[in-house]
Amino acid sequence: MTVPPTDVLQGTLDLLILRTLSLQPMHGWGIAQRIQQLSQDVLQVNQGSLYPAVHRLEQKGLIASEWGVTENNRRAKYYRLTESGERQLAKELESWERFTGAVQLVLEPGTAS
Amino acid sequence: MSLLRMLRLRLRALFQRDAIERELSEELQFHIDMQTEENLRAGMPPEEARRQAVLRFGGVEGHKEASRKAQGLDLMGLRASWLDLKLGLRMLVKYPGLTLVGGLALTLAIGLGAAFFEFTEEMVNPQLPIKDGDRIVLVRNWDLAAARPERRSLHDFVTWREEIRTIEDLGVFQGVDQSVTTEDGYTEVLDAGRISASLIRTTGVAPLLGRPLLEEDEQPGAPPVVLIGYGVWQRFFGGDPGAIGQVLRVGSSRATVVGVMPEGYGFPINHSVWTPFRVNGLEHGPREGPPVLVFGKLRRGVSLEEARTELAALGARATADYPETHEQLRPRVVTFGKAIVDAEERLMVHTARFLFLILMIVMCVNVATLVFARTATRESEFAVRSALGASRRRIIGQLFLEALVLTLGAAALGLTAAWVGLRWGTDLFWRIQQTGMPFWWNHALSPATILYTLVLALAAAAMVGIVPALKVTGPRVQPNLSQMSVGSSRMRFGGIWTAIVVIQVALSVAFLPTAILEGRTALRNTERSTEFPADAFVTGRLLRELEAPPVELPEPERAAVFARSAELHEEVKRRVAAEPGVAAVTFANRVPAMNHPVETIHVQDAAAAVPPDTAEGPGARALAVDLDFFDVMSAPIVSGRAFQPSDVEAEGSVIVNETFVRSVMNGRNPVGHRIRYPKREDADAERWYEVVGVVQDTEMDAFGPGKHRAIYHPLKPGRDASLQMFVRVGPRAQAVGPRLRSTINAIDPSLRLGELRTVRELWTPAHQSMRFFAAAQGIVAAIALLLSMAGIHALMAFTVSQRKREIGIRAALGARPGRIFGAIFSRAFVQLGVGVLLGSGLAAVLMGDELTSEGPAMLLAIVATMLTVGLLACFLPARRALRVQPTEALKAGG
Repeated sequence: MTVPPTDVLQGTLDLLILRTLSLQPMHGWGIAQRIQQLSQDVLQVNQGSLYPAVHRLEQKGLIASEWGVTENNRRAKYYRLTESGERQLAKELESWERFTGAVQLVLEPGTAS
Repeated sequence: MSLLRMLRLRLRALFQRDAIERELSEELQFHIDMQTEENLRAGMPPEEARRQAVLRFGGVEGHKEASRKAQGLDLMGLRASWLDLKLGLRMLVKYPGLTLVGGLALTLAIGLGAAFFEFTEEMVNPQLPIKDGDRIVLVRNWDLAAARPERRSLHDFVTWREEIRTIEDLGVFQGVDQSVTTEDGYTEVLDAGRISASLIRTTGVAPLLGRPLLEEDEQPGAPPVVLIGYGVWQRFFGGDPGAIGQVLRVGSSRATVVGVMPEGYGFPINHSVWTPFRVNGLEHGPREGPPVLVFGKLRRGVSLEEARTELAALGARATADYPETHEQLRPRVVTFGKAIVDAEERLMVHTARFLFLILMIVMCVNVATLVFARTATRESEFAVRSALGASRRRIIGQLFLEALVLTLGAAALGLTAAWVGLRWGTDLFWRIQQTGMPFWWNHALSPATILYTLVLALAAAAMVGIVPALKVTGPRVQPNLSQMSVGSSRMRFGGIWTAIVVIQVALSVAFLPTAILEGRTALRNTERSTEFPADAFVTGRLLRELEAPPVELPEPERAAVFARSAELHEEVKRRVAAEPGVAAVTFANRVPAMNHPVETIHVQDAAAAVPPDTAEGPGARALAVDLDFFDVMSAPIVSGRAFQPSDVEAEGSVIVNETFVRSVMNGRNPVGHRIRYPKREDADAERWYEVVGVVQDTEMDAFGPGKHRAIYHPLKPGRDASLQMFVRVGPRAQAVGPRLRSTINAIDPSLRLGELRTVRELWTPAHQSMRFFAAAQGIVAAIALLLSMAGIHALMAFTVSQRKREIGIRAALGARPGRIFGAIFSRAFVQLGVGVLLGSGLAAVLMGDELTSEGPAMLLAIVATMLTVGLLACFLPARRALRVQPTEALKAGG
């Protein structure tokens, strides 16, 4: 018995990608896998739509890319977080926490920190 | 994202789009492969593993397109622009007539605009080739009452130098024409300057050889020294490094050369000899002493505004301390670049630039007419395209890019022509001015000019491409599509376009006769040989070197200097006249009508009870001449009297020329009227001169007699630092030169004779420029004619193609060709007729008093040409119209 996977919320994909890349540089497939893994298969990234998001972030200068080689000796495009990407991640995490905290307050009044 | 990165990505998208596409495919393929492997590991058979991976990924092409968009690489758009550019180039080749006429017109308009912009930019916005040139400022007293600078400011300078904190290295400069002579007698009269040592330092340019001027050199009793420019070093010493330590006679003193400045240095304008300025401001009272310029350098980090505030405070104190002299004086500070042309001249430059813009708009409107006619014939192309889904924006974009190809080509050509023309033209300009070129003058095109030209090209493309495109792609595209099959369209050559053709014809007819007449007069003037014996006059500048200008000396020393100058003047005239081969000799303070400032004058009618107070009057050239000047120039007095010896001391009488009487006095006799120069400095502005006579226009004017208003004053020897000597000689003019020089040297050691030339040689640069302007006028006139012709042709071709069906039907019904021809072309004839009539009227007004015997004949010739050309322009479309086969026309309409 498994919980049906949830689609990633609109707008949070960027945050998830940045967060994933803050751990280590990774290729697109790896990003998708890692998100799924870390969320214990709850979050499913629509694989195709991952790439436009990644390219948009690259365009904004939040992440950078270069071609590298995988463990299996295959050419793959690796993405890594840039300095402005790190700043952006910190900012988005903070606003995420404020947001979830606020939602928490609404759902369970009195239990918030 | 930074602009640079954006540009790099865009360029990459344009030129390496295969690589980008490859990378994108590879990246997505890698993802699918990884997923396949994962599925295999989960135990799926290979076929199924791959299928599931692809399914899970979703539509590859869709994701690719989304990725491209995310990367800002709208490849479709970019590719389309590239296609449009290629299409534009193809259009240029396909319509060579339009390309040639339109391209030529735009090249001319853009080229002229760019050339004028570049030329004026060097004056309005000079880039000084010295370190921190934009921090160099000019400090001057401004006379509020007279609205002009007061340059006698040595007294204030002492205060300024000690107290101003915002400006450093304050120094003075006084420009003087000085003769410079080597030990072995080689002489030139040069733009020299007495300058504070600090000013040379301010400019931050180190001497090429030796040392700059130093503060020690300014001490009273210090040995006289001189710093020379690169050109002087080359001409006087042949570039010998041993020049340092040599002695030059500069004016009346013998000075040791201490340094040579590098090539291209001529601070402040085009100076080439600098001697130390020995300033002791306390010697001069407030508002006394020689006129000087005060320069300095804004301290680093200080704004012009702060300097202004500080000076305003100093100015207020000066007004309080010296109310008699400084009541109306306010110290002001401007950057050196801004001081070169005053606000009035700046406004003139901007007005003129605006006129060039208007010229370009006129040309663009013309070219737009032609493009519109062509676009109209492609109407069905656009109808089909929009039916197939092309947006209106896309079609307008295509037409804009097509036009841009044309205008950018024209801009490139125009800019090149401007660059070449300016190299030649500015040299000529400064030779006519008879002053050297300012040292900051740069022959390279400035980035501002290139940018300006690009903006012009874009604006022209917008006018030429977008306006017709808007008309063609209007909301009527749908009906056009349905009408297409019927063979006629609703496109009309509207009223605006008709008006443009009429105006074009009118302007050609109006301006061509005057342009041709003037061009011919200019050319004739350059070939004048009989009226004035230009080869028989040898002329050169004669200087008397003095310790100080006599006007600065106290009486009675001043009177003594003037008396000695008068004596020497007489002696020079006597001795030169006695030379064999010399017929006559006379002097003036300038060359008539050459390098002459035009001064504002104010004429007062002596007969009027209350003198009309017209503060601003017309301009005229003032000239001081010897008593026998008019005799030597063979210009008789036609009214009133000639100068008498008593006029020299009284200095109150003037003689004007006939051109002055004609254009200022409207032909009334000016004798007895009074004239003043309201823009002159101080008391000179209030001084009135009485007209005692009228002299015939002298022929010694490079631009021909009757072109310049002249006011002649009696010449007082000693008043001007140097005089122009005119010697009328026998047939062998050149041989006289060396003898004249030795004769004059023998009279007095203080006399120096500059370079000798014949009057014809003096004329040469002016004549070159006249030929140039005649040629330029001819080109503009030819292009105007060409544009009229092209406009009429376009209109006719368009009309014929529109009414093909009607022509066919009428022919089928038996109409005679003559009738059809008349019906179709009546509109062109009406336009031509109206244009010619309007133009003739305008031409008559323009020619005005120049409407001599030649005028009407010329006008008739132009009208005939215009009509012939207009009919020729109709000819091709007409032939096409009459060849329309009824069956064909009807079939096309079927």
